Amino acid sequence: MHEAAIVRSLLDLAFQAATKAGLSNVSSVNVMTGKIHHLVNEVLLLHFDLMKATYNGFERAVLHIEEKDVIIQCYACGQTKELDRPFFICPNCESPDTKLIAGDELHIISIEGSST
Amino acid sequence: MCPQDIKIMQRILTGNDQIAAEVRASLAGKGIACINLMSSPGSGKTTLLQKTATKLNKGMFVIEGDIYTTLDSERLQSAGIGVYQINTGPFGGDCHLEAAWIRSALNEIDLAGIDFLFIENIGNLVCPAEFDIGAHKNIVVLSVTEGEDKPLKYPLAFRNAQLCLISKVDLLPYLDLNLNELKQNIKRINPQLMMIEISSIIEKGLDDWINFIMACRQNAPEG
Repeated sequence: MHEAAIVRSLLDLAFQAATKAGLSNVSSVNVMTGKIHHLVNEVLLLHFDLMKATYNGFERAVLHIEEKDVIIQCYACGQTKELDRPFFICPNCESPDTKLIAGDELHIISIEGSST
Repeated sequence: MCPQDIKIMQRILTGNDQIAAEVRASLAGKGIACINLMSSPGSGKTTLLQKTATKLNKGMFVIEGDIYTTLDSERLQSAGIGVYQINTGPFGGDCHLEAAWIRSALNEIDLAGIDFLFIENIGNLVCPAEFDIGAHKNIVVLSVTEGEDKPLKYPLAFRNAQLCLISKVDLLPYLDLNLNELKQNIKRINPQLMMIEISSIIEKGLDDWINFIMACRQNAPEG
């Protein structure tokens, strides 16, 4: 249940950005989350809807989540592979010498809204 | 009422990461190695710390994280170990520590004579792995009673650790556990992860553990 702490940090960042840009009515908050983080989207959305009312201008905001698959690059065979399970071994040549190139994202991308 | 799209592109846990970096640098500046212990509840972290104190001929202090109760702190204090208790509960408390908790604790702890600061994170194999708390090394403790499959179910803890302690190995004769399969699963998640089989009861692996700890300090603490 680390989703609550992540949503709290997300709203803090989004509120700072909205204040700086002069947005008084935020309509959406857009985030990118990698599957390695084990986040449950429904729980993120639930916490977002519970917490947003405490941030001025976010009362009508909607959270949009872009979930990223886990992708590794193999140093041994050079292939790039998407993983359907958390085995960080190359599915092609079984080398453990791999690098995670996607799926570790935990970013706020943007906010959308308007000023009054 | 002009619609605007404001690009931010920032890590959501930036605030926590910044505090963690401050904590790590501050401790390094004092010559203190900070070691974060993460595991499921009941893996033997507290017992290991008690045993560590008897073997480690250096100043050590423990920040004890629990949702509720001071039971672990009392055990450590009774063994003569300096301890600071963080309770995040009692009801609905956070299931992990964050860097701000550690920074606040350090403001109240007298670190004179301390060489090693251990943080016993809240027993939970999921959430603590997500938050950098300013440690120089992250250790995941997995007891043999938990089964071979746990690294596969909770990969982030194993991805973010520099050492895995496979604990309670004195119980292996009584368990239907395939130790090789457990190790293979750990390697599938993090092929570079170092492992030590350990038992606080029969004192197996403790020398390797102490050597690892000593190396943490000798190799100048880093991020």
